[in-house]
Amino acid sequence: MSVRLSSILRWNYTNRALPFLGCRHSRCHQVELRSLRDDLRSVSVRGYCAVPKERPPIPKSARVVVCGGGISGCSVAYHLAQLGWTDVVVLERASITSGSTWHAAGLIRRLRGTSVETQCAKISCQLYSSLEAISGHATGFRECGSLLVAQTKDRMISYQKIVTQYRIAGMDAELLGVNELKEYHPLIFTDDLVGGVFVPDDSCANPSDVCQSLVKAAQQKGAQFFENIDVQKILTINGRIYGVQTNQGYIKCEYFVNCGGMWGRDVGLLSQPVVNVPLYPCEHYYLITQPFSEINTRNFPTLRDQDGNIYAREWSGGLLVGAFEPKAKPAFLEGIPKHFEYQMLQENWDHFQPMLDNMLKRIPRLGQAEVRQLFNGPESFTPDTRVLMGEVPEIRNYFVAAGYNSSGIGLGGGAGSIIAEWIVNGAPSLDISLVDIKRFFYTQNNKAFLRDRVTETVGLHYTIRHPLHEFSNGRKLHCSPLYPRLEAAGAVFGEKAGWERPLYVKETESDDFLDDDGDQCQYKGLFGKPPWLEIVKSEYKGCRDGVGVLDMSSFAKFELKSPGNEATNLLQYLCCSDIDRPIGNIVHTGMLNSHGCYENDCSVVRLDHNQVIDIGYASGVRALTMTHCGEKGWMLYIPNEMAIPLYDNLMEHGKNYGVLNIGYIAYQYLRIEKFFTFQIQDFKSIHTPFEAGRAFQVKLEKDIDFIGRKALAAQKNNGITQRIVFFLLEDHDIENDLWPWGGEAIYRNGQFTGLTTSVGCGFTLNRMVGFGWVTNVDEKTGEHQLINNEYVMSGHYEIEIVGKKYPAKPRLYTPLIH
Amino acid sequence: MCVRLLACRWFRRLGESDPSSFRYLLHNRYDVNRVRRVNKQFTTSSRRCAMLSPSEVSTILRQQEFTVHLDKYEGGVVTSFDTTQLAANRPVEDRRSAATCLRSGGLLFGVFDGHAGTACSQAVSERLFDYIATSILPYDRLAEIQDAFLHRRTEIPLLKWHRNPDDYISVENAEGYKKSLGRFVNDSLAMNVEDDDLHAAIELAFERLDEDISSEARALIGGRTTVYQDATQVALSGSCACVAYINGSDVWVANVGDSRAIIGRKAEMTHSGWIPKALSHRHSGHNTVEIDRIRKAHPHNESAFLIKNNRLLSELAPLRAFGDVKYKWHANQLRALPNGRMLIPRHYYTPPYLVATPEIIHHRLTPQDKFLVIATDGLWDFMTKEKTVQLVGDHISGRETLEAFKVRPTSRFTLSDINSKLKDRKSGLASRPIDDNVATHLVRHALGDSEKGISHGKLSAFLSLPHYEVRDHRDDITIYVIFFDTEKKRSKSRG
Repeated sequence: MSVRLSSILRWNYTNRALPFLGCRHSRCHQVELRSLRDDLRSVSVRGYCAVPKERPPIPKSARVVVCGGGISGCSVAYHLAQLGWTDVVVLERASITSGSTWHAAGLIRRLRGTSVETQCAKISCQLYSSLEAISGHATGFRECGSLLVAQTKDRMISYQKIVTQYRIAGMDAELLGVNELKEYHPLIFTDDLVGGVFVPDDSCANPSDVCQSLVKAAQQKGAQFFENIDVQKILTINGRIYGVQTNQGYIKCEYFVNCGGMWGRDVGLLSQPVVNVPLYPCEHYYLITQPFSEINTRNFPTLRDQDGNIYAREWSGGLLVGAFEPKAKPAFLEGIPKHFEYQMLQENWDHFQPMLDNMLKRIPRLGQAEVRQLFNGPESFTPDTRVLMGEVPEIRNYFVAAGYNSSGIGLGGGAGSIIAEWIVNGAPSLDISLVDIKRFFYTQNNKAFLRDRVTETVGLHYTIRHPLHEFSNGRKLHCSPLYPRLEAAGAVFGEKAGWERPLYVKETESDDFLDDDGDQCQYKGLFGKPPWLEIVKSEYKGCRDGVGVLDMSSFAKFELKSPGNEATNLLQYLCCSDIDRPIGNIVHTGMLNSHGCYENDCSVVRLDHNQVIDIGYASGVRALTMTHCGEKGWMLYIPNEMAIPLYDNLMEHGKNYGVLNIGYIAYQYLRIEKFFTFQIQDFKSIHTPFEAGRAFQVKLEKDIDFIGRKALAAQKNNGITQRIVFFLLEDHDIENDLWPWGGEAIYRNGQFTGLTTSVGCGFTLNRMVGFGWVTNVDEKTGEHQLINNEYVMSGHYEIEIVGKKYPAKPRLYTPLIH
Repeated sequence: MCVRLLACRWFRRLGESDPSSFRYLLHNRYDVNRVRRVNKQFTTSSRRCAMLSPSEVSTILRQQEFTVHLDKYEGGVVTSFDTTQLAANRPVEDRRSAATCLRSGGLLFGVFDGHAGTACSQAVSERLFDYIATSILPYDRLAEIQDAFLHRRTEIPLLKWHRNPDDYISVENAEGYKKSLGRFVNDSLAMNVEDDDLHAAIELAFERLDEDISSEARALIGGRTTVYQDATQVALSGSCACVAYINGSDVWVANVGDSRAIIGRKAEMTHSGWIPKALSHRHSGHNTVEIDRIRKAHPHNESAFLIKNNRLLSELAPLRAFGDVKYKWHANQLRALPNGRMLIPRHYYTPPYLVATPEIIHHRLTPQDKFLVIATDGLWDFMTKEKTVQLVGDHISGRETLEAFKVRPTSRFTLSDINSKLKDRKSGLASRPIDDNVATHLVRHALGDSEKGISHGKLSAFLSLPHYEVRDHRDDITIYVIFFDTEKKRSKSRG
């Protein structure tokens, strides 16, 4: 079998010019590739069997066309077929798995940054474990568990935080002391460690086997796979998918799924309008050793030493040791070369050396191990370390599942399932706002930006991320006209969807902001009291007692106009409140989906009888008596060219009133104390206005049957099962205790009831305050039961911050602050 | 004999470890199987012994190097250039030239890789720039030049040369060259060529010079006396040419044959890398476009014989060249030459098979473009364009570049071994390059690169090869590295 493989690989090299590596290197790569043959046994040998060599012509039409035959595309096709949509065609430009799936390390990490991704990993695991039975093709899936070790206390705290969330999701992970670590992984050096976590559910699989198995299972159900098909154009009619043009002809289709992996961005450019798929391939290194005697069991747990940027798994009796280096290298400065299938990048040992040092330190036995190969393969990364999923905003019925940030195997199975469900049912079954491809702006698809940003995202996989973490590469994508003024005033900026927004304004330098290396930082001793608290406090006080000025340019504004009253009618149809109000009125409202859940949270201002703007401005400056934070104030809508003179004027004349620049953190703290909830942060597309405490927005008796009215009416009758609640944290020492940053577990009478969302320091109430969801889950059946105000107010609540429970007082309405 | 043995031994080691030198062997039709056999015999226990001392190596490498700094008025965007030459043939068959066009202020750089003797490359290196300078002259200035010819002035005000004092000039042929040039000036005056079409002008200069070389030789054979004595040698030998004409921020590269010109472009933003941009295509048997061009120019039934073993008519490696009339003239004309019958290649039906029409690429310099490397194939046998720009780029910032560290799957290195080797390399990476002249720096790396840095043993072996063997292992190397000041360019355009 292996002989055949080597011949196939050679075929790849001899029958093609190698534009990227150059003929000069082809020999040595051939040798190296052949050395991998045992590992990649299934890559091509079985791969070629799965897809028939005799190529039938591609069909003239299909319901769904999936572009890309990697783990992502195969998973989407499989799940669609599973759901009964068997008219699915997968188009692969070379051969199945040849992009980056074939060289994936095959780890499935269950502890994820977002709940969607955790869910994805869970689905993937369930899928891979049952796949062999379905397809009859082995997947190499093993629940080997994984050991995460911590070199610092902060790391341990971050593990504790994740473990809490993990347990809430119904899975188990065990926090370990230093002495226990060796029991789980006998080879590691533990003297410099402070603890660790063992996650028994973490698994690994053989990526190409999984992929081939999916292909087989999908084929059994009727999905079709075609190799060596170049997708040349995605055709649209009226902003909707119409078909796909390939080098083998057209396919008419209703849905298109871009699973192009690192080609995903390029595939996005093949349509009109262009679809933004912001991802960029980076070099990712791992090293494979020769087998050695200590690795005697196939179920050797995966090791993750995140402080050392490394991971290690069993691989053919040896170890596969990989790294997420702090400063990665973007791959292909001049685009991905043609025919880049089954190919690797030039390895750079010098770049890898610091990580090798870490590896040898953590697993001293590796020093005597012989190296089999250092592997450098491209993996696609996104600007914020989260996967890109969902229907794109540019074209109807155009879906994307790509940019897995080197976790394609871990997430691909689940992502495919979510996308398939979405296509079949018209909506995803869970809230995907954090991974939704809509979160990116077209400017974030800029190549130079991506190239700069992804060098940072690679390392972020293993760094402890502060809740207020900000990227340092790829900044200043969008700056408001006031940016230079604020920068000069000492503002420290954060980024939101590419917009630079002041977080706080630091007028004088202070040592509090220097980290151990003497660099500027926003937080020290992670997760505790941040150094900027005093500044934010004075900004907060400034706002309450005097005047604060905040640049809010990052908020989107739309102006709707129509000759008749179409604009009004449209908004009446979209919004749940009655927006047919007198001119000059502001309505804070929501735009809902058919389930009555929030799609958009906005304010609507009526500017004219037939001219309504959805937060916007006409010519000149428009002042609205409205803030999002519950304070009295004005929103000034200023044409760009007037921003600086107006701002200067304001600051000059405001001196007598104690005017000062403020940042978003103070603004957040102001609104949290007043119980002003925000979309995404506090409520998402799975929450209705009733649940989010915004019943006042809903006007069921409105003339126009707005979207979601039916669902809301039903909920009004039946009652709600979840409610966002305001909490005041008791017995918490702001100075010395660890802070809640959102995502902490809330317990009602000792039973888990939900997670916190926004949390902040309430300067007037003089304690930590925040919001959290309260549910009533039946312990036996696991069903969500109805709750009412009495239920909410009657319980005894506790909020768990890194293993310590603090009592908390619930409130349903804004506390009175004077 | 001892010298030869040692050098060979060294070389075997190279063949085994370094893919670039391995390819080099293939390129020179070295017997691959023999190399493999030799590699097998080679044992690691054989003692390393360098034939040359480090200073001797440096002396050899630096013998032909020189640097010219140009001021703002003379160089424009070009601040300076480094050049060097390393011989493999004896005498060296490569030639090089650099000059400023007096009228336009543009700079001309050229490398000329001769074959079958030095006569052609020598002649082209001396004459081509005059032809180009004439060809790009505006119509009104041509009259001035004609005037200079008419008054038999010794200096024709076309070029200011930037010659290495050691570079040879063939004084005895100068009169003949001048006569032909004079005719070209007259013809140019008679012709109506659009002034601004640089492409056409450069192409014309190339083709005219090749024609002149041809016709001078024919005149000599015909017994006419108006030409110089070496004309036949010039016409029978051949030369590639890669010429860059830099004027303002425009670069034109005209290439004939397998030399190359590469722009080094600094990668954007935070990345330290350098991106090569090729301004020429090699006209060799690996260039499918070129092969197609030749196939199209000849009847279909000949296509089997046109390119064999990557060579034109299975003889000539470059697919375009100056001179080489044995691939250009009609068979009858060739028979008129002494020993002419022997010269005619097999399957010689529809000449010309070879042209000297240059492939011209125009490039407008961007602020990221920092240098231009022009070199003969002797360098490109060892170097990729990526590595070349990295080396020059690192040299600019004062850093040394090392050969990529590689671990072959069969080497039974442990990870500790590898780690300690990598740590050793760190100091090498931090050190400064020992050559100030970046062209010499390139040659040193081309010949001496190993994983731990420049291997003196390897360099010494390469440089001490006996003359009858050296050509099997490396070709003549000639390099120009031309540096641009793009800041200057910016301020200039502003002013």
